Amino acid sequence: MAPSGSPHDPLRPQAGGCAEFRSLRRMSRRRILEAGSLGLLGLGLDALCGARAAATPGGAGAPTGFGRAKACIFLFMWGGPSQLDTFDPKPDAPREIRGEFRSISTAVPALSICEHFEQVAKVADRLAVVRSLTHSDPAHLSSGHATLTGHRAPVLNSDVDGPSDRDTPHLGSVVARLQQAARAVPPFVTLPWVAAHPAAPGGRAPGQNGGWLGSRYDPMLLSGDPNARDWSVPELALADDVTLGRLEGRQHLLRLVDEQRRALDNSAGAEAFKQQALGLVGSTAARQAFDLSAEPEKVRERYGRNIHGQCVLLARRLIEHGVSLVSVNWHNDGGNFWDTHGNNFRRLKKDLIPPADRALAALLIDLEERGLLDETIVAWVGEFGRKPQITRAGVGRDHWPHCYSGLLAGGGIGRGAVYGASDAHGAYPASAPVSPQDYAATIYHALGIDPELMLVDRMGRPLRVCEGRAMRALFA
Amino acid sequence: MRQFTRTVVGPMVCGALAAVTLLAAGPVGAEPQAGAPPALEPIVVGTPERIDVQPGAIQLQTPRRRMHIIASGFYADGTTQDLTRAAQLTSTNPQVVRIENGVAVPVADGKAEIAVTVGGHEVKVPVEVTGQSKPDVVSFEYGTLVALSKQGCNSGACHGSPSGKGGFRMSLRAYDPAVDTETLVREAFNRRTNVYEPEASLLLRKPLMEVAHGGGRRMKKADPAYDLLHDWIAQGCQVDPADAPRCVKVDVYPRQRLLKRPAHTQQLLVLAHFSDGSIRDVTNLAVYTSSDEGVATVNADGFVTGLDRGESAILVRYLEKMETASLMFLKDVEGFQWNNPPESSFVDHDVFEKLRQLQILPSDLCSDEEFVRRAYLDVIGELPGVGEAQAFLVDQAPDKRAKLIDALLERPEYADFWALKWGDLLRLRGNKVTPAGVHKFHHWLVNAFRTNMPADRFARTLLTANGSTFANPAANFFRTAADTNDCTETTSQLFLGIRIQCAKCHNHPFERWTQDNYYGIGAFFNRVQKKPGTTPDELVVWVSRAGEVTQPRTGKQMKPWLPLKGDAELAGEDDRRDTFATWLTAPDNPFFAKVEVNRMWGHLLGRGIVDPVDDFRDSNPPSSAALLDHLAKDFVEHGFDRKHTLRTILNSRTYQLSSRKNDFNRNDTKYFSHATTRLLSAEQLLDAICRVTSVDEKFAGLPSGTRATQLPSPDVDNYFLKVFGQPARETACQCERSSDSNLSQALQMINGPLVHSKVRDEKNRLRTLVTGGKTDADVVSELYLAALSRPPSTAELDVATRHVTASGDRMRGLEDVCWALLNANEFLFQH
Repeated sequence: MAPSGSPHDPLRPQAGGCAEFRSLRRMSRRRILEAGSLGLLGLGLDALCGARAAATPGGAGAPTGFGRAKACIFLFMWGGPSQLDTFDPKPDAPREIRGEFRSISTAVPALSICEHFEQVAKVADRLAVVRSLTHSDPAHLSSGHATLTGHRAPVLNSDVDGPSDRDTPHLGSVVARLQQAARAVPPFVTLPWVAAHPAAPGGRAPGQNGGWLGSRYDPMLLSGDPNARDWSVPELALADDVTLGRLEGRQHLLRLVDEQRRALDNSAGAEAFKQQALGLVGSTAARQAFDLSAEPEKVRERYGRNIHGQCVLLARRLIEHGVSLVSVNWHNDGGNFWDTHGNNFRRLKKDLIPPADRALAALLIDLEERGLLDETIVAWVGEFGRKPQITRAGVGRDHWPHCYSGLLAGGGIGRGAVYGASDAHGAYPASAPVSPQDYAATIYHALGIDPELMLVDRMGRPLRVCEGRAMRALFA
Repeated sequence: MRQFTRTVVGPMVCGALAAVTLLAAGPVGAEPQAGAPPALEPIVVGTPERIDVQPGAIQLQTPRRRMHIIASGFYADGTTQDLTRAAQLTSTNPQVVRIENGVAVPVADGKAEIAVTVGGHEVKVPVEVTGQSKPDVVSFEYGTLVALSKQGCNSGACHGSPSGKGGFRMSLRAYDPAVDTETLVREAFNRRTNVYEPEASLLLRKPLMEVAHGGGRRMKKADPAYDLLHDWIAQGCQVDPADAPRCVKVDVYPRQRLLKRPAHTQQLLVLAHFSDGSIRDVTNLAVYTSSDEGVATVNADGFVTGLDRGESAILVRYLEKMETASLMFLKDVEGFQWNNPPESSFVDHDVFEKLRQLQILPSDLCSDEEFVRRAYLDVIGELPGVGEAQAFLVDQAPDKRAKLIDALLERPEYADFWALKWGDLLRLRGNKVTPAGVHKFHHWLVNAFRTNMPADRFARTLLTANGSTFANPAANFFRTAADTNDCTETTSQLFLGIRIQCAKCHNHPFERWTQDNYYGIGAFFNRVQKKPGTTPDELVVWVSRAGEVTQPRTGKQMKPWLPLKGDAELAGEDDRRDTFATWLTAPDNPFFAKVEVNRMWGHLLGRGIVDPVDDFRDSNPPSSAALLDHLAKDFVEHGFDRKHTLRTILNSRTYQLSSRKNDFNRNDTKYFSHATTRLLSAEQLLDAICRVTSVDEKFAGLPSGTRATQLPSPDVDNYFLKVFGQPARETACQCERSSDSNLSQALQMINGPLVHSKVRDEKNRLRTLVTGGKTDADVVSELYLAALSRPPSTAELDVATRHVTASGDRMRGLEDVCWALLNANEFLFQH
C-alpha cells in the first residue's frame, strides 16, 4: 500500500497540493541539500517546496548569509514610527520638516540618528539601518500584514479588514510550519498582545497568525505586562488548587486510560501537543523559559523596568530556550503607540523612544555577550513612516508609507551598514528602494528559508509565503 | 496458472532497450527525480492468449510525425500485461517506415506494415506514409507552446507565474496563446529567438543551461521539445494561420487497466485528434502526473511504473485538453486470505470487492460500546447519555443497531447538527446576513433537515430564491454569495464539488476547467439583483431581465454554460437560474448526487470517497468509482432522500467496522477497511464536556441550555470553540473547518478555565453522585460511561478508586478522574 503520512503530520501538504506543486517539491530536494546550512530549522525537506536556496547551478553553495540565523526577535513598532525622528534625521531640512529633535553621531562614523536614541547610538556598530523602505499603503492594518508576513494583505489600503484565514501566515507561522522536531517550547510566540488599533474599525491587524496555513500555526500569545509583579502566563499557571503533585497524579491516571487505546489512529499529532502542553504546564524546566523572575535584577534593569523592556528581555529568554521567533508588538500603551498624529514630539521623547532605545540597545549587547547575536536576527520596524511635513497644528505627523526606516541586526547582517537612502526631506527613497516584503524576505533569507518558498493552503493551492526579495547586500 | 515459457531480460530486446532509455531520460527537464522508480524489472511475457496492438492503423502525414506502438497481452487467467517493452517491431518496408526505439518513423511516401511479435503472437499494423516531400512547418500553438509546456517553462512556479521570471512571462500552461504570441513572436527583436542562428536563441540556450538560467537545466538537445523549438525559430517564428487545424480531443490508451504483479508497468499512448481528421501521436509531448505517486510514477514519455498496490489516475495534459488513464496495481500479499465478511447492502459489496482485489482485510465489526458512541456523535453530534448507552448495551435484540440508527435519525438534534454543517458551508454569519437574518436562515435550515427536505429541492430552493431575505430565508444564499463570481464559486463548490476559483483568472492549471467555463457558469447568476427591504436589515433578491457576463481576458460575452454539457439553450427572459437548477437536479446530472452522497459518506466515514469531499477532479479520483456511482444512483432513485442514504451507510458493515486494524489493512487510508479516527469537532467536544460533567455552557444572548451544536453562527464569541477549529464561515469550502490539533487546544484541555471550572463545578455530575450517596466505584463507572460509553476495565476501576482514596479528598480525587477522562484520546477522538 502507498505509505501515507498521518493527517496530523505537519509536513503533509493538506489536500495534497496540485500536481505541479508536487513535482516542484520533488525537484527542490536536491537543491535543499545543496543549500547546506539551514540554521534553525532542521528542516523537513519535504516542507521546503520550491525553496530554491541554491538555484545557482553547479551548486556553488548557499548565498551569503543564508541560514545564518537560528532565531528571530521581531520588534514591531506598531503605529508607524517617524523616520525623521528616529533613524533618518534631516538636520538640514526646514524646521517644519526636520522637527524638534537634533541628531547625534553614533559608533558608526558616517551614521547619525535622533538624539533620543542615546543607547542605540552607542551600539550602532552592531546593527544596520534600512532607510529606503517604501510602499503605498497608508492603512495600519493592511500595512501591518505586509510587514509581518512579507506579502500584501488580502485587502489593501484597509483599516477595516481584520484577520482572516486568507491572510498570509506570519513569518513565525511559516517558521513553525517548517520546524520538524517538536521542542519543549512553542516555535512562535507573540507578546504582549495581538497588535490592534482602536482607530481601525477592523481592530486587530491581519497577518499575525497562521493565516492560510491554519490556526495550528498561530503563535502562542503571552499577554499582560511582564513588568508587573504578579505577571504570569495564564495558560501555564496552574489553577489554585492544582499543584504540580496533583497534576502528576492526573497524568498517571490519564496514561492509564490512554493505554487502553494506545494505537488510536491519527492521534499522534494531538498526543504530541498534549505532551508538549503537559511539559509546559508541569515541568519546571520548560516553565523556566517563561519565568522572568529568574533573570538577575541587573539584567532586568538594563532592559528597562517597563512593559516593553521586559517583553524584549522575555523574548531573549524565550529564544535562548528554543523558541524560534518572538514577535514583540509595541504594547497597548493607551496612547495610540507610534501613531503620533497629534503629539509627535512629546510622545516620542517622553513615552516611546526612551523604552525602545533602552530595550533595543540592551538586547543587542546582551545577545552579543551571550554569543547569540550572530545566530539571532533582530528586526525593529513599524508598518510605515510619517509624513515629513509636520501637521498644521505643528505637533504631529501623519501616515507616510512612501519612505521610512527599519533596523536589522544579528544573524549575519552587516554591522554598521546603511542600506539605501532617502531624499532631502525623507519623503521618498533616493536610492535602493525596498518594500516591507523585501524586509521580511531578508529575515527569511537569514533564517535559511528561501523567500520564494511555496506552501499549500488548506485548499491545496501552492502559494508564495513572501513576495519580497532579500536585501542580500546587507549580509556581511 | 500462467505458464512462464520465456523470460525476456531487459537489454536483450530492442523494445526493452527503448524503455530503459526512456526511463533514464527522467521526468520533465533534466531534474533528476527524487524517489525515482527502482531499476526496471525484466518483463515476464509468459503465454498470452492473444495480444492487442494500438493503434490499429498508422498514418504518418508529415516528416515530423511519429507513432508509438503499444502491445498488450491478455492471459488465460484474466490478467493483462503491457508487452510494449518486449515486443519485436519489424517494418515490412524500411524504405517507407522504420522503427526507432519502438516508434514508427516515416521515411518516404508509400505503404507498409509493421509486424508486432510478442509471446508467440504476431499482429500486423498497416502504415501509410504521405507528405514526406512537403515542408513540415512547426505550429506555434501545437509545437512551440506544447514544447514550452512540456518542459515546464510556463508552469506557475516559473515563467507562468503572474509576474513571470527574469523579465520573461508566459501565460500559465499556455492558456492564453495571444499573450504568448506577443511575448515570443512580436517581441522577437530581443535575443530570445534568433532566426538566423537558431542555436544562439536564448529560448534554447537558457533551458539548456548554456547560459545561466535561474530555473536550472530544463531541457536536453535530445528532448523532442528541443527540435520543435529549434525548428520553429529556424522557420522564422511563424504564427499559426487562422485556418490551421485545431486539436479537438485527446485519447489515451489504455483508459483503464488492472495490472497484477509481476505486471507492473504500462506504456501509455496519447493520440491527439485534429480538426483536419489527422490523428497525431503526442505521447512524448503530453504532460503527465500521477494522482498517487506512492502507487505509481510516470515519466516524461508516458511510461508508468507501479510501486505498490493501489490505484493511480495518470492525468494526461496536452495544452488545455485533459484525459486520465486509471491504473490499478495488484500484488499477492503473503498470507492473505479473504474472509468473506457478510455484506449488508451494495455498499459493503462495492467496498469489499475492492478490498478483496487489493488484498486488504477489513477490520472486525466494532463493539457495541464503540458503535453507540460513534452513531450518536455522527448522527446527532452528541455523546449518548449514560442511560442511553446502558440501555443499548444491555439490549439483546439482534437488530438493535438498525433500531438505534432509525431512532437517531428522527431526533431533533439530527436537524440541529446538520444545520450546523450546512450553516458552515452557506456561511451563515451576522456580518453577512445580519443577526436577524442568521436566526431566520438557521431556522430555515433546521427545518429543512427536520422535515428531511429532499436534497434536490434544497438546492433548487437556494439557487432560485427570490424575495425578502426575511420572508424567504433561502434568499440569503445570494446575500452571502454576494456577487456573480461568488455565486459561481459557491455553487460550483457546494453542488458540483468543483473548486473552480483558479479559473477566474486563468485556465485551471491542473484541471479541465477554463476561464470561459468560469464566466459561463457566472452567466446563470449575473442577473441576480438586491434592493433594500422594508426593514433595516432586510434585502430583497430579484432577477433582472437583461445583463450578460463578459470574459475579462477575451472580452467576449459568455453564454450560460453547463459543465460537461456546453452552452445552455435558454428560453427568452426566463430566470436563467431555473435552467441551471433544473440541469443540476436532473436524475442524470453527473455531479449533484455524487457530491451530496460523498459529503454524507465523508461525514460518517471520516474520509470522502472523493477526498476532500468538495474537490472532484480527474486528478483526484474516487477511491471507489463503483461505490460512488451506486450511492448516487440509489440516492436519486429514492428521491434525493438524505436520511435514506445516511441510513444505508450507517447500516453497512463498512460503517460499523472497528478502528482497530489488522496486519492486512494497517496502511490503508483510502479504502475504508477500518473506521477512521478523528478529533471531535469543536462543537461536539464542547457539548461532550458539558454532557460528561453535566454542566451547561452559557452562550451570550441565547437561551440557557443551548448546545454548541445548536449555535446558529460563530458570532457567539466562544474562545474554546475557536481554538478547536470552529470556522469563521468565510468560504464555502469544507476545508475551512480545521481538524488540526494544536498547542492551544492541548493547553485548553489540560489547564484551561473551561475544563477546570466544569470539573470543579459545585453542581456537576460527580458531586451530584457523591451527594446522592454513590460509592467511588459507582461514580468512576458512571464517569466512564458518560465520557467513553463503556464501563471501566477492572484495572482502570481499581487504579481510579485507589487514586481517590489516596488523594485524601474524595472530591478532588474524583475531579482528577474526570479530568483524566476528558483528556484521554479515547474521549477526544471519534473512533
